Amino acid sequence: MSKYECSNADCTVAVTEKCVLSHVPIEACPNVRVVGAKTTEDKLSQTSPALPTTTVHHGNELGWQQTSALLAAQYGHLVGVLGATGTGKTCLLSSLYLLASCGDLRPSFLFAGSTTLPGFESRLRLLRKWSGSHLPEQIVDHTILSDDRQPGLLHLALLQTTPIRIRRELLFTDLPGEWTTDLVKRADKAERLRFLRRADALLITLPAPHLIESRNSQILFGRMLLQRLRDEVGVDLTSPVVLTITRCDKTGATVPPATYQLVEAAHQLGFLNVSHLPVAAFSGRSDVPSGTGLASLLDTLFQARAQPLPEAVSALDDSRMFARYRFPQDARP
Amino acid sequence: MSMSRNVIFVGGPGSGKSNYLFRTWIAIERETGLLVKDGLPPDLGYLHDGATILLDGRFAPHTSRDTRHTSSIPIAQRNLPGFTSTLVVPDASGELWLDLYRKREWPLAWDELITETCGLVLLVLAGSPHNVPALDWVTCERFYRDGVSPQPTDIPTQVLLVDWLQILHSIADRKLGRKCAPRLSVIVTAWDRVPTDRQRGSPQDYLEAEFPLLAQFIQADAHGFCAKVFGLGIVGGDPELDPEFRKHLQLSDPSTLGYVITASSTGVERHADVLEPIYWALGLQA
Repeated sequence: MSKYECSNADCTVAVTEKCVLSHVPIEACPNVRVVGAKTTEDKLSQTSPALPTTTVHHGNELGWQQTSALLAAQYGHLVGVLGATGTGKTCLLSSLYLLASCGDLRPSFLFAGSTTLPGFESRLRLLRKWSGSHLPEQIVDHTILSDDRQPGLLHLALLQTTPIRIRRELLFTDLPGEWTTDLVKRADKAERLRFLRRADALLITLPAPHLIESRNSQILFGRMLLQRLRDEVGVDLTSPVVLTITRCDKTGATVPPATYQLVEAAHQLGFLNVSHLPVAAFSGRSDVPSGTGLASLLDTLFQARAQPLPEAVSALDDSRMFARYRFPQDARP
Repeated sequence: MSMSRNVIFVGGPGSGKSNYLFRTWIAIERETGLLVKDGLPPDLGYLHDGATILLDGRFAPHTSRDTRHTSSIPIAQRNLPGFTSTLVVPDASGELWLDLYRKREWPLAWDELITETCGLVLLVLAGSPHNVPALDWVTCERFYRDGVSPQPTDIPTQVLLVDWLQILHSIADRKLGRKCAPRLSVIVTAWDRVPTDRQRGSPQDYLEAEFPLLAQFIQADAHGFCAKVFGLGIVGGDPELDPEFRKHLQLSDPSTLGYVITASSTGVERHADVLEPIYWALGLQA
């Protein structure tokens, strides 16, 4: 028997492998049908019913419950990333991820894992966007939607190789820029950011071109934001605050003078550990290459060793374990 | 009743999972290594058909998307009289693994294969046209400057490989607890296709250059597996690219061909036993 069947009663292709209508190849005949696996290769390709499946975590971002489960096993650095829309928060994280994935953090750091690998990949391609008019109001407990971008955290584990070999778990907030601008405008928007009391560091993204072209309004915005963070959110004044000057590929690595005024304003508000860092996430300039400043950012985040706190800061939500450990910060004289 | 020893082959389309399974069966059937057959498998059709293709001097074709087959091979261990077991190896198309990344779907039947004695074999084919390179700085700089899309749907191979391992470890965690560290063999298949000058380096060196995310992930050793990296040529050449080698293969005994490469303190070592990665995955080697 051949592997063909034919609906034409006069055709003997099933026995002779010759088409009565003389089609070559035989499969070109509209009446013929391939019915049997014949070759060894064909036998290997025989199909089976689909396997029942279960769903694993989508990996786009983490909610509080998922974060807590991760931190139950090891200490993690919670980094709050704040800034208005379009100031480079996502670009900053994407650039850090690209540095890690290309191996450009070697030999000081090795990529050691990420439970939000798909999230980093889709953010790098700008495929994961906020849904405009319906921005979420809270960081979710448990992210279950794979399509909509959720306020949550992105996880990146690095193995620090010097001066000691230690695994670092970084958890960056991924929040809409509106959460930052809303906080400046309205004190009652502080509640959803109270978790930042437990942050190991705060990054405030400020584009260098804005600090040059709109110097006064940017200083005003920065001062208001810092005051809200102190008065309404209640962040720990010893937590490192890094004024992250983004888009330096547009202006060069020279820090805009307005930055120093903001640093001074932060000191006046009582923040004890304030620094500034020029960065360029993606750049076409050789004097300010892509990724500029990000290694220094890691150094800043890991500059002190974690020590246990005597007691939890707050029982505000189920993420209390963040308060178990925090960087001891050197108070400025 | 003998205990099952499960080995899960992990890899995308065209990574060499099926061909290594068939070569494994040839080695066990011909009893060329540490693991030998303990009778014939009750259902031999899939293994027999695949071995036939290899013995005829060809590689098995791409496993179709809907193929699911679990091979159960009764085995004994040559230097351990009385030891009998069943080697259980599921084989499925690489598309099923792509679905694990894209759709986050994990086959329930495979959950049962995650046991304290299971092992994992991750395969990546050297020079495969299926391999998707990672995004690089030049591409991203163009994308962020001009909005030129960096292949929005193609996920880099190294991202898939790391994501699969992390998912597998989370499943092992859930089922077995965090103290369990499953054995993992990472295999660069088609080592023959690696350029000759680079074959002087180790398989880990190859991963460092081609898949830096995976290489770092393994090197950092924070993944929760007991891992070792291998290079593999299942028949010691490429009958599809080299007609002369195909003739040689047809005139030879394929069970005597093939090799495994591992790193050593003096450089690289070549082993004639293609089952070395299986031994590591099963914990038969320290």
